[in-house]
Amino acid sequence: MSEPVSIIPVAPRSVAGIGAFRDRERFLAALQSELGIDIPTTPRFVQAGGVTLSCLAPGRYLASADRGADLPARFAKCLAGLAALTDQSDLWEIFSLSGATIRETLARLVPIDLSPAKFRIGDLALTRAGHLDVRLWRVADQSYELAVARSYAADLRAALPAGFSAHH
Amino acid sequence: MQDFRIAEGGLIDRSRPVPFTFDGKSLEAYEGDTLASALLANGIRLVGRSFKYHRPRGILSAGPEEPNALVELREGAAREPNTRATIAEIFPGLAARSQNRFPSLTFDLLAITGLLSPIFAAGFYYKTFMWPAAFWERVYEPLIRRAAGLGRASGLPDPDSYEKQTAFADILIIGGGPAGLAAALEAANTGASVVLAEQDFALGGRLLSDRRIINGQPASVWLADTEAKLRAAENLRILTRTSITGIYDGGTYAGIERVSDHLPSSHSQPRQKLWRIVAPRAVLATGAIERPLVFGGNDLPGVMLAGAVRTYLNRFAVKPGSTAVVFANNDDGAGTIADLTAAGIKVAALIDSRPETPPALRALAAAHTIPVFTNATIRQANGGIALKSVSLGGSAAGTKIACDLLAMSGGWNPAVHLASHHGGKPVWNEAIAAFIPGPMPPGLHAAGAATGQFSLGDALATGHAACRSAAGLEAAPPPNFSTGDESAAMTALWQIADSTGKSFVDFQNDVTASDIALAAREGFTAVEHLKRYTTLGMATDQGKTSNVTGLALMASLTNRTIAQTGTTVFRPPYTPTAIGALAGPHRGQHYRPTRRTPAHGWAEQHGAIFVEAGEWLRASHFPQPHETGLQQSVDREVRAVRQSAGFCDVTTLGKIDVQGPDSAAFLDFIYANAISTIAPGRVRYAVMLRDDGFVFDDGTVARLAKDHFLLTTTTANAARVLRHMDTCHQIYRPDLDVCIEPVTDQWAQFALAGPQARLVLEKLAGAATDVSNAALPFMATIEAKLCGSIPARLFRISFSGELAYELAVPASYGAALATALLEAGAIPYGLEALNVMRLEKGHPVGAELNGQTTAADLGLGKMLSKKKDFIGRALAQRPALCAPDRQALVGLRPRSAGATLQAGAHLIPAGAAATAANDQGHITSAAYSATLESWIALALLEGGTTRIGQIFRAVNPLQNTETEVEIVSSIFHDPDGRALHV
Repeated sequence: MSEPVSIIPVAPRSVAGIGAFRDRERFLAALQSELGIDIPTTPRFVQAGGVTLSCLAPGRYLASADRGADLPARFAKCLAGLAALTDQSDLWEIFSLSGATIRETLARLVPIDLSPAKFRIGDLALTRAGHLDVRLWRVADQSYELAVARSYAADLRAALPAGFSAHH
Repeated sequence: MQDFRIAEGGLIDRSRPVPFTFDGKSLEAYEGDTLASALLANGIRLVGRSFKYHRPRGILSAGPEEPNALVELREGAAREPNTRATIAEIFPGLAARSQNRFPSLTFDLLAITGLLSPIFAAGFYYKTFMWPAAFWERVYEPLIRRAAGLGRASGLPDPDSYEKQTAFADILIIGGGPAGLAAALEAANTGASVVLAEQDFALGGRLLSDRRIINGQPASVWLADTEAKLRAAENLRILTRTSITGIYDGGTYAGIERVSDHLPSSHSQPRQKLWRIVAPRAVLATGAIERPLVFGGNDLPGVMLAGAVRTYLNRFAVKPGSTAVVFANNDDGAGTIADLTAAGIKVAALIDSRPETPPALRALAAAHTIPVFTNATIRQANGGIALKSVSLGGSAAGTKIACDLLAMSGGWNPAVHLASHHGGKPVWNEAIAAFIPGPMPPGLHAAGAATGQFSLGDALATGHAACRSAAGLEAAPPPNFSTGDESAAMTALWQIADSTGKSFVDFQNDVTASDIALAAREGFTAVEHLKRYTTLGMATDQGKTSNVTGLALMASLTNRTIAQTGTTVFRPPYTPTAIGALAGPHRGQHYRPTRRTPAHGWAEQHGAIFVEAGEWLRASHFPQPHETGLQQSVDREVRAVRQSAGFCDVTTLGKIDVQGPDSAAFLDFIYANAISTIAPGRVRYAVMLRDDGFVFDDGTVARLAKDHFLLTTTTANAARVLRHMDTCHQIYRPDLDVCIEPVTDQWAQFALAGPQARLVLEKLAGAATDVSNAALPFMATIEAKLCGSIPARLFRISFSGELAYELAVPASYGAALATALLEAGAIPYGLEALNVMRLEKGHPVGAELNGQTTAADLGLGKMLSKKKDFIGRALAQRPALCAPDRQALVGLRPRSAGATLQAGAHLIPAGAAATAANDQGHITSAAYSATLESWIALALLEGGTTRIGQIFRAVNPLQNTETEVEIVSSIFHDPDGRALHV
């Protein structure tokens, strides 16, 4: 029997939801200037100075960092008038998934193409785990993060398919 | 013990004997057997009784098309009826039972129905058992059901687990026979990612059953070699025991894998797995299904399909009988005489229905001194519970031959079903007297016998070609596949003119040739009518061995061609599928998502009883140890709120954050009342209409800053409102610069209500935040710090009608806040008390916002702004929606103290008869009010508040009860709202 894939909740983070207003160019410029990196405009994520910035959809981003970073306040300053900021630090329960059989096991949970060439490191997907809306990031070769809205987290844990070994 | 096992050969493992039982009898077989081959090896040929006539039945085939050999497997909750013995893999301890017989298989009392068969012909229940009319439902139908039918379901919840998995591939190959394997070999060469699905537990298809040569060696060598190559290939997934059951849109295929059905115990593996295979291209290599011939007694145990006989002989090393006759209209079937003689079975005759028998076949028969009857038929198979002899017809009329095995073949039907799942009808090919795939789903390429090319050489070549075409490559010569001489020459034979006795077309549903003739006489000549009138093709085998023959017979009866007669519609699933496999993990509690609030654990610890509110679990009430019933707890909670202070978890209400330069204008467009006039720091009750003018949802809108709003929705409509807002923004008002973000899960939210509510809040706010009436007046909102460090937002709004607040904190503080509220002296209350108090205040909720009520109906007509356009404004002005006699919201009290009221009761004017004509409305919500010490209710009543003071009968026709009620104002308690402004 192959080793199970571990699914471990990550420590709470500071998370900010960012929704660009109409002037996308100025928005992207301000974001770029604040973080010092190119801002993705397709479902990918980048990291700079302890902040992970994920593009969810055109003009929609999620920024996360260590709990103490207070990202909503930080981005509210640099994106004032350019974007809507929402504190989502408590909205998501985020899990770290890893293991040698991660893709075969994840294929029992999510309906998307996980082949390494199609879902590359740095990609993210808005998809479903069973019947729950989730976000899935490929963080390393055999390591992913999965986020589900907090109210569904117990449901996700209770119905994990075979092959996952849940840690609490 | 295994008297009919051939000593050598076959693909079974004689070193691993397997004990099993059938109808309680202990038997032995070998690993690699199916239940069917195991039974035949033990000389057991009577396996079941037919559906209607309880005729003795045996094993017709060796594959998933089997109509007769249906058994029950396993015990208790895991018992599964109608399992095809030809598919069930033998395992140690397998316990199988025959079905539909009493008291036993050999002596079935209900076989008497066979004698009454003229009454039970097709469609009998449309013509008989009609008098007296009442007897149908109570007597006849139950009796008929008990007499007919196949297996019994266990009636218990399915104890097994099922799984789902998704696989993506460049090419899906459906079928692991020679065509599919040739396709897979080529696919491996191209480097494409491939899934190969085969429903059998071994790859090979007919290569496992027939003695064939490929490249000068036994096909088994080529097969082993090919399998090794495929298993070593990268990006090639082989799924055995996996049936592809349907082709859906977007290149999506459903497959059912029987993961542990063949194991004695599942060992916590799922029993079956539903595969969703996404492949832009696929190769249909599903092969063909052999056609039975139609003559009297063709359903006797011992009458088998010729290809199946070869399978039992060659693959399973089993003799299905001792003295055989072969009856065929084609070379492939007739060639079975070679396999039979090689296995040491006496072949008493070869009956060839064609005008001429080819020389090669004659020579083969002569070499084994087998008499050949050409241009002859079998008009009747004879025997009681087993075949004893056959009576010939045609040129050999009058001849009778003793035998216990009849290998029959009417030719082959390509398995075209999957190809037709997108509605493309198969096409009749006269040359092979068979249907071949017509227009196919996008990306599907067919190969081999599925296309009507029945030779092995063709299978290999077309498999290779189909793969190249699926991969978008130019055609190329296939690798060397020399297979020797083969002939599939066939002359169609649908009717045997001088046949006597029941001639079966659909074995499983007991449909005979005369049933089809009856349908034709009675005008049911359209093929879809033929199917439903006779039930031909409607059994669990879905007509795999009967559909084509049935429509061919109907064609000849109605002087049409088979092409003109056509086929019925093919629908997924191709094979019977356990509902559990379709459900996967989503069963029981996991049938739908369940959401829990941040304070759920806290509530559990404090004894909350939970109810489902949409996807959420919400506390209904918090029973105290001494309380004996729901009403006691609810009354206590209501009194606690109205007299001191209580708190309720309201996290579940949708919360939507709206920001942007045009956010005020956007919300003015969405809501019926004015939003842009809300000052920052204020909250307003707001109503949203649907496009058609009816009320959609209600909630609160808080303006946090000039361009920042936070709105709430009802729990039930949260997702719908969000979708509605996205639609309005993206489609109706893309000109507005606004951003909409759901934040329900970010905030834990509690209502704190009661005369002492401010005192409680002051304890939590401490010195950090001023929560006085001046600092936080009615309908205001401020930021705060609670319990020293918990960041919070406070809203002074009230649903209960008491002095009240809602406290929102980040979700991770939810439990801590509940703890703090309890410690500060507030009493936890749940949905029941919440509902009583809102009823006392006449607030409409889902029962009143039922999609059929307008704002005016609910007494909210004045909220519709006259100064702006908004969703629903125009259609809300339709005359019918403004009529004064519409059913509008009122309150009700029972006339006699202590009488109860029921939601759903209908309102009839006092003194009028309780008829639909006098029905003027109904009770939408009702509850016992501890505050008023009476039952109270809200209702929708014609004329609404103009009826206040009138007396009505609240009638419950389901339980034949009624109560006299008086129409009153819907605001039962504190009508001036004094408590709110304290």
